Order: sequence, then C-alpha cells, then structure tokens
Amino acid sequence: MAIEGADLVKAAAYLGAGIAMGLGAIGPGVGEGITAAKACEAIGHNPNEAGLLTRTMLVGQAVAESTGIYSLVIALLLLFVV
Amino acid sequence: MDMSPETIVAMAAYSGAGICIGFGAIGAAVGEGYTAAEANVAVSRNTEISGDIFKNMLVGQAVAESASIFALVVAILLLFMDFHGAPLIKAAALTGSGLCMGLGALGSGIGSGIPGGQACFGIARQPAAMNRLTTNMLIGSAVCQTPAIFSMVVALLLLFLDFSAMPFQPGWAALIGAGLSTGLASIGSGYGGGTVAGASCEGVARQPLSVGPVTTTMLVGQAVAQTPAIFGLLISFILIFRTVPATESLAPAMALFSAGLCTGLGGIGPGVGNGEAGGGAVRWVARNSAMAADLMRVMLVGQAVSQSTAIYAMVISLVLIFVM
Amino acid sequence: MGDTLRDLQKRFAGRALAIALVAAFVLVVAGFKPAGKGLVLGALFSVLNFVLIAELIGRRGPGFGWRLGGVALRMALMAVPLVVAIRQPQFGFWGVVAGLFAVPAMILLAQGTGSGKSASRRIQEG
Repeated sequence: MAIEGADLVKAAAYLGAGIAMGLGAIGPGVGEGITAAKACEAIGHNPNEAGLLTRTMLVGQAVAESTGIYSLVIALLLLFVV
Repeated sequence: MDMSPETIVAMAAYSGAGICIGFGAIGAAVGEGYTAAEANVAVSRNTEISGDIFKNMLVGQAVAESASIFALVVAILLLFMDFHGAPLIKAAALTGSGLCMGLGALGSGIGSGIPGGQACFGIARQPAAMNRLTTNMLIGSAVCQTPAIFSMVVALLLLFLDFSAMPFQPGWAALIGAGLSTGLASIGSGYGGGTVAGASCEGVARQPLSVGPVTTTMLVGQAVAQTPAIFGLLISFILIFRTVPATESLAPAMALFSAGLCTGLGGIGPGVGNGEAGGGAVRWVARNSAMAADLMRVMLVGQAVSQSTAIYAMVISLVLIFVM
Repeated sequence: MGDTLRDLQKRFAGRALAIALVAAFVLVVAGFKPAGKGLVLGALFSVLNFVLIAELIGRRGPGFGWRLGGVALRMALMAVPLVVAIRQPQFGFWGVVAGLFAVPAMILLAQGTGSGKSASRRIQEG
C-alpha cells in the first residue's frame, strides 16, 4: 500500500472535520437543552409572560448555537478548502 | 511476528466482546448505584415504608438492566461464534459490533437508573402515589431501552452479515464507523430519556393529580430525545449497506470512519440536552398542569433548536460519505 | 403492593415461569422444540437473577467497584445458559435469549394490562 504525503494530509483533514463537528455539537446541544429547561421553569413561575420568555429563550439559544456553527464552518473548511 | 487473518479476526472478536460487556456492566452498575443511593435517601426520610421502596427498586432494576443483558448476548456471540475462514474485514465488523453494543448499553443503563431512583424517592415523599410512580418508572425505563435496541440491531447486522464482497481498504473504516455512529449517539439518547423519565417521577410525587399531562409530556419528550440515536442508526445503515469501490489510499477510508464518529459524537450533546429540556418541561407541567400545552410547545421548540447541532453533524457525515 | 418482599419475589418468579412454560409449550407443539427448551432454560436463569438482585442491591457496599462486581457476577450467571445453548444444539440460542427477558417482560406486561388501562384513561381525561 502506497500512502503518500498528500493522501495522509487529506485523511487527517477528513478525520479532523468529523471530530470538529462531532465534539463541537456536544456543547451547544447540552447548553440549549438547559436553556429550554430553565425557560419552562420561568414560564411555570410566571405564565403571563410566556411569549416574552419564549423569545428570550430563543435569543439565548441562538447565541449558544454560535459555537456549533463555528464548528460547522471549520469542518466545511477542512473538507473543501484544505 | 506473522499473523494470519484468522488470528486477527479472533483477536477482534475477543476484544470486541470485552469492550461490549465491559461498557454494558459499567452502565448497569452506575444506574443501579444511582437507584440504590436515592432509595437509601428515601428510606432515611420515611422508614416505615422501607419495604415498599425496596420492592419498587427491585422491580425497576429488573427492567433497567435489560440493556446490559443485550450486551451480554452480543458479547457471548462474539466469544463463541465460529469465524474460521472469515476474511480480514470481518475483524473490523466484529470490533464495530462490540463497540456499538457496549456504548449503547452504557447510555441506556445509566439513563434507566434515573427514573428508578426518583420513583423510590417519590414513594417516600408521597406513599399514596406509589402505584402511579411505579407505572411511570416502568414506562420510562422501558423507553430508555430503545437506544440499546438500536445498538443491538446494528451490532447483530455487523455480526451476521457476510462482508467478504466488501474491499478491505475503505471497508474496515466504514464498519468501525457504523458501530461508533449508533453506539455513541445512543449514549446521549439513553441518558436524555432517563432524565425526562426521572423528572416525571419527581413531578408525580410532588403533585399526584397531574399524572395524566405529566405522562403525556414525558412520552413526547422521551420520543424526541431518541432522534439523535435515529440519526446514528441512519448513518450506520448507510455505512454498512453502501457499496464502496476498492482503493489504495487512506483518505476515502478515513472519510467513512470520520462520518461515523461525527454523527456519533454529535448525537451525545443533543440527546442529553433534549433530556434536560424535556425534564424541565415535565417538572413544571406537574406543578402547573393548566400550562401543560404552553410548556409542551416551549419544550418542543427548545428540543428542536437543541437538535440542530446533531443535524449539522449528520450533514457533515453525509458529505463525508457521498461527496468525498 | 401490600405484600412482603418474599411474596413479591414468589409471585413474579411464578408468573414469569408460567408465561415461559406456556410459550414453550406452544413452541414445542408448533415444532420448534429446541427454542421451547431454550426458553425455559433462559427463564429459569432470569428468575434466579431476579432473586439475586434483591440479595445484592440492598446491601450497602463500599461503592462503585462493589456494585460493578455484583453486576459482573449476575452477568456471569446469565452467560451460563447462553454458553450451554451454543454448545448444546438441543437448546435453541434465541429461545434462551428470549427466556432471559422473562421477568422484565412479565413486569411490563402486568403493568400494561393492570393499572396501565386506568393510566391511559387518565391521560385522555387530563
């Protein structure tokens, strides 16, 4: 089996893309879940503000999502640019 | 040292069996430990009904450890099946099989211990609701076994299918990746499903009259928390059944391995997060049943957003499989 | 659940074995003799495991390693019928696998037919 340098670099880039997106998905997934749990708690405490609380939850989740999107960008860069 | 394919396949079978039963037993032991710890707290709070708490714990444990019995069955098959004359690629299939079942049983084992513990604690708090608590515990534990069943399906496919037509070079990576994809993703779904079921037992103990909406919310929350495991199963099936052209280079093989790893790892976080979201909703449906519909809507929106990173991971996996 | 722990064990073990025996009888009559024999063998070990859980789980051990040992012991016990089924063709392997789930299946079945009906009605009402 002839494994050349360029082949090895490509293989490492593919592996890196998988690990980047895989590990990068853990944090936002857990964080957004906790945000939703706390939003439910807040709505339970104060049902009249349900609309406002849902909006706040979505804003918080969008911010938490950003690291997941960074991972996605890095993974796509590793796949298509490197 | 010269090793024949037969030796390598046997080594893979034995190490796969070890990984499988090892992770499976750890999962069952952690789950059992959580249940027993909560039961001890419960007994110390309400000593008079210690017999009932103990019986509930026993029944819960009998159902909760189904996942580790799946792992035992796969491990025994790996140890005692006859692989004489199998091609070298079977070694990768057997490693993947052991990894998949072991990791899947780990998540389900830990997850299904949580409703057991919360139900024991709930019985101490609200002995009148004992039957309802046991029911919710058993439904919750049974749903927690779903990711372990997905893992067992993939593990048995890897064990029994004939891969001699698959070329070794990218094939080994596809088969190990298939095992990792469902196995790792099942950790999140198993644990997440357990969080929801535990919260439902806590909620019923707090407010026994809310059992109807609590159980409905629990089932919906648990069902959504299984989605990452279903993504893992999908990628595993593609990796197992797609015909790959033979190659000399490493890159295509690494793309397939990485595809499995990506969806697997990416499923852990959303699975746990969906469990947290579902648990939060169930807990507050119990306290405020009038808001059940609103809370369910917020839970589903939150779970959908939390799911998005698992979908990114699956997209990267699909790109790795079909484009690279 | 107004009875003692021993009553519960006897009741569940008896029911699980009864279900396994009936299923095994049906299998033997239908012509799957090894599967039927395997089912009974697996169910026996499932019941044995259920009794052992009570002995092992209730004691306060030193910690995680102790629990892992207990689980490993029960797993080793349940490996026995599986290995027997692989070595002896008169016991069907998948019959034994099904038999090992006799107790959990019986618990879930009893829950589904008993209080489960009222639980589903409560969901419809609430």
